[in-house]
Parts: sequence; C-alpha cells; structure tokens
Amino acid sequence: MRKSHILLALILGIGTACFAIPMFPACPLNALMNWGLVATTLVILAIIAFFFEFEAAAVGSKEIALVAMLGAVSAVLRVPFAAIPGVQPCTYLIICTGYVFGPVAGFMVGAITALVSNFFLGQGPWTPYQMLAWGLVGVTATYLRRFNMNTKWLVIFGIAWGYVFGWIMNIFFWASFVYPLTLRTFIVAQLSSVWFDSFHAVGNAIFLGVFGTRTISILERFKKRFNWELLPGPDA
Amino acid sequence: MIRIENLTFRYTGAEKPALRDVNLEVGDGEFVLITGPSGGGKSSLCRCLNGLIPHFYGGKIGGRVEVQGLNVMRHSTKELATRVGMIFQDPENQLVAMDVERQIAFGLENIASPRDLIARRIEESLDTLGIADLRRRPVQELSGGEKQKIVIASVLALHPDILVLDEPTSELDPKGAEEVLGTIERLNDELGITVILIEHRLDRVVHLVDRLVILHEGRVAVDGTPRQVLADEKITRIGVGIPPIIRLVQGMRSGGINMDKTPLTVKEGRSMLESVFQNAKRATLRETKTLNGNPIMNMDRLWYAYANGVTALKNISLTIREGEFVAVMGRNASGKTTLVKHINGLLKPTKGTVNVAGIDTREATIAELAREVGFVFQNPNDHLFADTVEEEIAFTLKNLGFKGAEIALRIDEILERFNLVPHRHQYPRALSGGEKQRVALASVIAARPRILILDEPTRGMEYKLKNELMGFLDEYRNQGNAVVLVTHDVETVAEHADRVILLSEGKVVVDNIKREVLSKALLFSPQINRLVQAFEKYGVRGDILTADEALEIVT
Amino acid sequence: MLAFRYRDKGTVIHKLNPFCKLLWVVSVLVFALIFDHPVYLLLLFLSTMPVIIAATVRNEWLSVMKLTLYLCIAIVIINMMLSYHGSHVLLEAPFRIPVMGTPTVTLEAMVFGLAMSLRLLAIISAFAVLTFTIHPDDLMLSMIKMKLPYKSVLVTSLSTRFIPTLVDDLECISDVQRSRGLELDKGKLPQRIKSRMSIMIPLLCNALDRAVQVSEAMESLAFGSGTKRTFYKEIRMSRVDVVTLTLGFFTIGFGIFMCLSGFGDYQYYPTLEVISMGGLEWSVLSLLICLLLSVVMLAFVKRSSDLD
Repeated sequence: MRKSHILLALILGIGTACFAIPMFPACPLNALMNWGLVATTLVILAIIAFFFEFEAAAVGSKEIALVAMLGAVSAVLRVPFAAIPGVQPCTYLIICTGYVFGPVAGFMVGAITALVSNFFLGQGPWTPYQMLAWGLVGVTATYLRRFNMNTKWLVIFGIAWGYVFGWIMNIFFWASFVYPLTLRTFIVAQLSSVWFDSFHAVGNAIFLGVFGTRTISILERFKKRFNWELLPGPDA
Repeated sequence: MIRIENLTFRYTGAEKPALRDVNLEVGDGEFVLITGPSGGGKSSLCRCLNGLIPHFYGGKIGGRVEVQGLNVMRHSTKELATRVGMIFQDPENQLVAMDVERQIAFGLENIASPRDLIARRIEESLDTLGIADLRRRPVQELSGGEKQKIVIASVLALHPDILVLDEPTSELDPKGAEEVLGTIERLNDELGITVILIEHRLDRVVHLVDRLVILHEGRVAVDGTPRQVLADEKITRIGVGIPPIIRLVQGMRSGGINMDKTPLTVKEGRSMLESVFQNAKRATLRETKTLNGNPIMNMDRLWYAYANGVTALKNISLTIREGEFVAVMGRNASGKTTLVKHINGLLKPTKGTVNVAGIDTREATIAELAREVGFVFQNPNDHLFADTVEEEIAFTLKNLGFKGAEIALRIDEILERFNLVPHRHQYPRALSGGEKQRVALASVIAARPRILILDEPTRGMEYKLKNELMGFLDEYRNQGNAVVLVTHDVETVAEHADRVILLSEGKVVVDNIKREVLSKALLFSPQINRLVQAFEKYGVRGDILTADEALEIVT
Repeated sequence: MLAFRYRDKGTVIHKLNPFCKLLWVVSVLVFALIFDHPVYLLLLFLSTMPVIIAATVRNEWLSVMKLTLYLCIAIVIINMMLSYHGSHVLLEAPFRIPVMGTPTVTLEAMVFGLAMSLRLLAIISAFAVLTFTIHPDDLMLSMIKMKLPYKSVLVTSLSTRFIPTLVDDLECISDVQRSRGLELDKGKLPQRIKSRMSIMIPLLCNALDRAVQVSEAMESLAFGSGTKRTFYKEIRMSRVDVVTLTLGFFTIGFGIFMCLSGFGDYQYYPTLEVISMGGLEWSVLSLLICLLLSVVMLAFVKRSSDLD
C-alpha cells in the first residue's frame, strides 16, 4: 500500500471522527474539539500525502530542478507585483504549470511557492492552507487540458480560483475565530474578503488572458525539448 | 584513459550532427585544451565523457566512448561521476545547497558514503583548493570565482580521475578566472588528475597545457602540442582567438621573417624575438584621433551612495564627446557599472549633476533618456521576450514613441544591417548565441541613440563573435556616435578604444587616451606592450599596444 | 527587496534545536485552539514574550504584530456583526435582512471577538519566532529527520537556494527593459500587468535554462534514481535536547489532559460566565505555562553546559 493512501485513510478517519464526536455530548473529547485545529491537521496531512505521491512518481534530477525553479520564479514574481494590491502572479504561473506538466508537478510548484515565499514574507498558520490551495490550483489546472479548453476557459478558471483560493484561506480564520460555525457566518466571513479576492480574480484573468497562451507555449516548448514528464510511478 | 572512436552524435530534432566521426585518445595525467568556434561541438564532446550524452540528452549516437575502461553508453552518469568530474560555465547553476559543506557533501551523499568519509573528503577538498576559510560563508555572498572553486571542490570530493571543464571561467572576472585556472593547473600538476578544459582565451592557458585540440564543425580539425597547433595556418581560417604574441609571429612569418619557434608566453617572446626587434624601424605610430567632438554627456562632481550607505562613486567629473570610443575599466566593485547607469538615468546622482544632450538626468525619466542613450547588458537573454525578432526591435521603438511607418522603416534598415533578415519572423530565444547578441544590440541601436553603452558584452564570448560585435561598434562610432564600453578585456580595448577611464574605489584614477593608460601599466597592459617594453633599449617605442603596430616596425 | 526574514543573531533561541522550537510553536498553536478561556489565552500570549525578548527580535515582532492588529479588528467586527447570540444586547437594528435575521450587536459577541484576538495574537507571536529564528536549511533538515519524503525537501531547499539568484536576475532584466524605454507605472491595471510581460518572460525563460543546467550539474554529482543516499548533516540531539523534547511532549499531553478534565473551558454564550478560577486551576495553569516556557528556556542550561 502506498504511503499516500495510508495518509488518505487517516484524513478520512479523523474527518469522520470529528463529525461523530459532537453527536455524543457525554464524550470528554468534546472539550478538545476545535475545528481550526482539525482543519489544520487535515490540511497538513493532505500536503504530506501529496509529497509522498511526488516521491513515488518517477522523478529524477530534471523534474526536481524544474519544479524547484518554477516554484522559485513564482515566489519571486510576487516582487514586481507587490505594488499592485491583491494581484498574485503565482496563481497564473501555477495554473500554466499544472496545465503543461500535470497534477503532480502542479501541486508541487503550488505548495513550494507558498512555503518558500513565506521564508521571506513570514510563516504562519496560513502557510499550510496556502500550500494546499495553490497546490490544488495546480492539480485542477490539469483538467483544463484533459477537456481541451481554450483561453476563454483558462480565464474563467482563473477567476474562479481567485475566489476559491480566498475561501480556502478563510477556513482557518472562520473555524478558529468565529462563533457559531454555521453556513450563515461562513458566508459572511467569506464576503469579508471579497474585495481582496476580486483583485486576485481580476489579476488572474488578466494574466491568463494576456499571457496565458504565451506562457503555456513556452513551457510546452521546453517540455518537448527535454522530454520532461512527471508520470505516476508504480505502486511502492 | 579516455578513448573515443568514430563518435558521431546528433541531438533529437537537430538537422546536423553535433559531432562527426571524432577520434581522440587522452592518456592519464594529460592536460588537454579544447577550443574552436561556437557550434563546433566542444560542449557536446565533453558531455559524452560522463554520459550526459546519451543518457540525459536524447539523440542518435554512433561510435564508441570509453572512459577508464567503462563504455559510457552502458554506464549511467551516476556510475561515471566517481571517474569523471564535470564543471560547467555558470557556478551559480551548479550550487545546489545553501552552505559550502553541504554542497561538497552532496555528491558523496548521493553515492551513500558514510558520514565519517564525507567529513574527511570535505576537509581534503577544501584544503586542496585552499578555500577552508569559505566553509562557513553562505554561498550567495561569495564572488563568482569563489563559487566556481566550491563547485570544483564538490566535484573533487568524489575523487574523479578526470576533470572535464566546460568554459569554467566564462562567467568570471579576470581575477576569478586567473585563480580558477591556477587551481586547475595545480590539480593536474600535483595530483596527476587528467584535465580536459574548454576555453576561448588561449593567452591565459596555452602555456600550461600538454595538448591543444581544435574542434570545428563537429570534427577534430587540429590536434597536437600547443606550439604545433598554433603554428598551423589552418587555425586562422577556422577563426580561433589566437593570443596577440602568436599573431605577431604569424605576421612576421608571412612578412618573410624566418621564425622557427613559436613563443607561447611574453617571457618566451622576449628571448625568441630579441634579434628581430634589435633591427626594428623607428616608425611613428598612427595617433588616435584627438578628442574634439561636441560634448554629449557631462558629469559634474557626481557622488552616488547606495541605500545601504555604501558610497559607490566619489566626486566624478567627466565629459564624453561625439565620435568617441571610451572604455571604462577597473577592478570588480570599483563602480564601473554604477557609473554608466547614471548616463541613462537608471541611477540618479546623490550629489552633483549628470547632463545628457542638454537634459539633466534628474529631471527626465529613463524612457525619455532612452532616445539619447542606448544600454546593452551582458546577457542578451535578459533582453529577449518577444515572439519574433521583428517584434523585439519594434518594442523599443514603440516604447520610445515612434509611429507605424517610421517603425517599419527602421526595422527593415536595422535587420539588413545586422544580417537578421532571414530571422525576421523567428523566435529570438531559439537563435544561436551570436544571433541573439545581434538581436539585443539591434533592438537598442534601432532607436539611434547618440551614446551607446555596453556593460561587459564580451565576457565569455568567443573570438569570432567578439570581432563581429566590435566591428559593429567601430562602425557606429564612426557615424559620429559615442560608444562607452565597460570591460575587463585589455586586448579589446587596445584594439578598438580611443580613451580609457580607469576607476578604483569609486574614483577616476586615470582618464586619458588609451596609449597613455595602457602602456607600462602593470595590470592593464596588453600582451604586446609587455613584450615591447623589453626592447625599449633598442629604441623601440614603449607605447606600442597591438600586434599590428608591432608588425609595422619589424617588417 | 526580497530577503530572508531569518537573521542569525546568535542568541540561545537561534541556536536552539529546531525540533524544540517547532514543538514549542505547535504547543502554543494547539493550546491556543483547545482552550477557550480568555485568561488562558492571555497568559499564553504573554508567555511568548520572554522568547521574543530572548531572541532579540522585538522590532521584527512589533512589525508583525502591527499587521496582526488589523486582523484582530476584523475578527472583533465579524463576530459582533455575526453573532446574534448573547443576552446583553448593545444595539439592535430596526430592520430584518432575509436569511440573516435582525442584525444585533451583543456584549458577548464583543468579548468573544476580543478573546479570539488574543488567540490569534498568541499563535502569530509563536510563528514569528519560527520565521525569525529558524534558518530555512535547518527546517529542511528537520523535515528530513521527521522522515518526510526527501525529494520534496530537496525541491524546497533548491527553490529557496535560487530565490536570491532569481531576484538578481529580476533586477537586471528590469534594468534592461527600462533602458529600452519600458515604463512600469503607466496606465491602468491591465496595462500595468501587460507592461511587466517583458520582464516576466525573460525571467521565466532564463529560469528554465537554469533548470537544465542545475539538473546537469546534479547528474554530474552522481544524483540518480534507485539506490539509497546518506545525509552528512543531521540535527544532532544532545542530552539536553532529548530532555527538552520529552518535556515538550509531556507538556502537550499535560495540556490536553487539562482540557479533557474541564480546565480552560469558558462559556461566552448565551451569557458571559463569571471568571472564577480556584487555587487549583491557577496552579495548574501556571504549571502549564512554566512547562511551555521551559521547552524553549532549557536552552540556557545547555549553553552553560557547553562552556565546560
């Protein structure tokens, strides 16, 4: 059995347990229940599961160097855009990476971007959430290619992720610092960051609309030239 | 022992093979220098020696390569790494760790060496290269030369029998290059490691090597001892950058002077050429043009301090005139680049003024100044981003506010001038190194700036391309524009510049015509000048700078 | 510009075994989340101060705290606007919003918001210590020691290693394009983003070229698939470290046990509970805080033993 599968089972187990515990008010574990803690634990486990997936994939120095360098570029790209609030060029580059190099590379570049850029911007409880959110951006971008979608869809996808990214980021704050945890408070908590998320979404749309195809063709050219591909490996 | 038999290799997707029918044998402990024009197959040949070709780069391969008895087709790069150490151009891209010890340990960790062995090898490598003092420094703070030495240490830790170095000094300044080459020589001499070195600047190494191989169009064109090879007339035709002293001797031979031996160093030249210079004529030298064009750039008591408080320029006043070819020289961190960045407004003076074509740079944007001042940076890759060569050139023109018809006209003209017409619709980044350099230059010159600045454009550049570039610059200067060249390359300055500004620690030390600055200067004298100084006792002028000038008085 | 937030100031906290630091941060995070009691949260926050002072990162910490205050204000406002629970109504809107109900501001919600701000401050303060005092390389070494997959750690470490290089590249490319007349701050948002293309494309392409060279260099240094590898540098565990770590795990266990035994619970809704902590609770809480601090502060003992 692959290690990532064990982790996946663990995530499911913890998740189910957390929903089950409140049903038994007599159980002392209720005192420990904090959804912020639960969410963070699950997020970290999910990231580690992806890391094991990357380990199991047939990667050599080429893929490692490529993922590392794309992660570094995407972290550094935050610099020239720091002057424009809310705009996150990383998201667009991660989408293009996932689109061209597949889900494993997409996830890794996304996760690395968050982890590495926070060495410079500051680590915090948000780091795992950013890693997962950007990682998932990379993973989902693969489906754009699978369904053969054009620039228009790329832009729509970018806009959607502008908001979804914000939602994932808000989960920690909502679960840890807001009471009661109902759909109503969830929505309002999400609305509170809507301004920021809109900037992110607009930025993504412009990036993908203006140089999405360009970036994808650069990455494609590179992939073709060096035959670089991340294939899922045999079960370890 | 390296044995290469009938090696032919073609990269996937390439039209022509990179290597054709190469036969070469290198014995243990030999020091072999490989050179030749770019595209000749030097790098490909190196990459065959540790199996990067064919394991890393796909392609069609024929023939046989055997290293220390191992056939590289059957053994992985990983297996070969303990026999063949590879060092590449840019040290930056060979450092995988953030600290020195872990960088050196990386190779040994990969072959699962035990920790005590790694510790011992780290000590050994640091001591062999004399860089033990660097071990605690973070790598990004080190100079290029220091970084390259750490790369060599990390390769050496695997105890290879053979070192292959692919232009290890092309990204380094002269001091760093000198140190790295000295280290390589010592490794060969004292430890008996076989060395295969690719290098363009023959004058730095030719006297150290046992053997010189010229690769041209994928074939071994000439192979022998340096003296044999350099006496061969073929190499001039191929376009190898021959050291000036050898060019002088070749000139003498074709001028009818009988020279049986070829000197490789200035020292050898002094004894071998003494009799020739004893009878030299007292010719007058063609003087460089007097500096009397209209001033177009004026710096007045310029001071500049960086945000961190370091004062980079101190009280600099100078004028640049139309039709002048100025070289800015000086050690690393002497303020050369800081100085020229003031001319196009990338930096604004902390104190004092810079005036370009009547504009005070403090009151103009970089874009406004760009019409008057063109700036070409060292790496053409930093310039190129457009889809086609044409768009690349149009980008500058559009930025500077030129309109449709004018843009089209200028593009046609500039493509013609730089022989880029066939590449008009091609992707600039896919062109060859020389072509990229031309596109970068063309994209700047298209605006017809009156001052053209180049920051170390010739670093790591091979002879032919350098000649081509300098040809363009001479022509541009002759059209009445000023050319400012920041460089370490003394020979190029001796050939092309009119005037030299020498900086040290942010101050102008000398600012005069080149003959005054370059003759009898210890560090900044060209090879020929160092030679003729020995013959001043025979009445030879001590301010001769180039091989052509020296030839004039002896033939 | 972009620079590591980490600075080696050589203090005991900087030199402390990264595992102890990580364990301490995790403990603060866990305690801040499982305890609801405002006094607990306040003490937890205050307990991070000695560490900040010992690490001499007060100024850096203050700048982080300033940003965090904005988040705190947001937390208070969101809670006040959202929680219609609570019995002490301070304000009630004269209208109803469909689905949302009648907007009501209660004292309970405000206090809850303030307590949650303390929770956030404690967490961020602990993470600040992590950011400012752990070298990224040490974090990688800890990840390897924790048996996280090596390739992921290597990717992270390579990526971090190349950030300064790419920042230099970025500066150079930006100089090149500005010299060609590019104006970055002209026009509206789309125009501004577009104008940066001439910087982004060369940066990306150069980085891809670098990737090829890096992997060639790695291959030449015997990096290959298959066989196992060794690690030269490892986080050494001295006896004090082992003691400290054991203590750290004990502390987490103790905190969880406290929580399970009903300590640190506090009722905000529907009516604020009167804060009454018995002598037992105070002593148990002080013990917990002392334990927590000792996870970091035991390092001082280590230094004096180093001198022997």
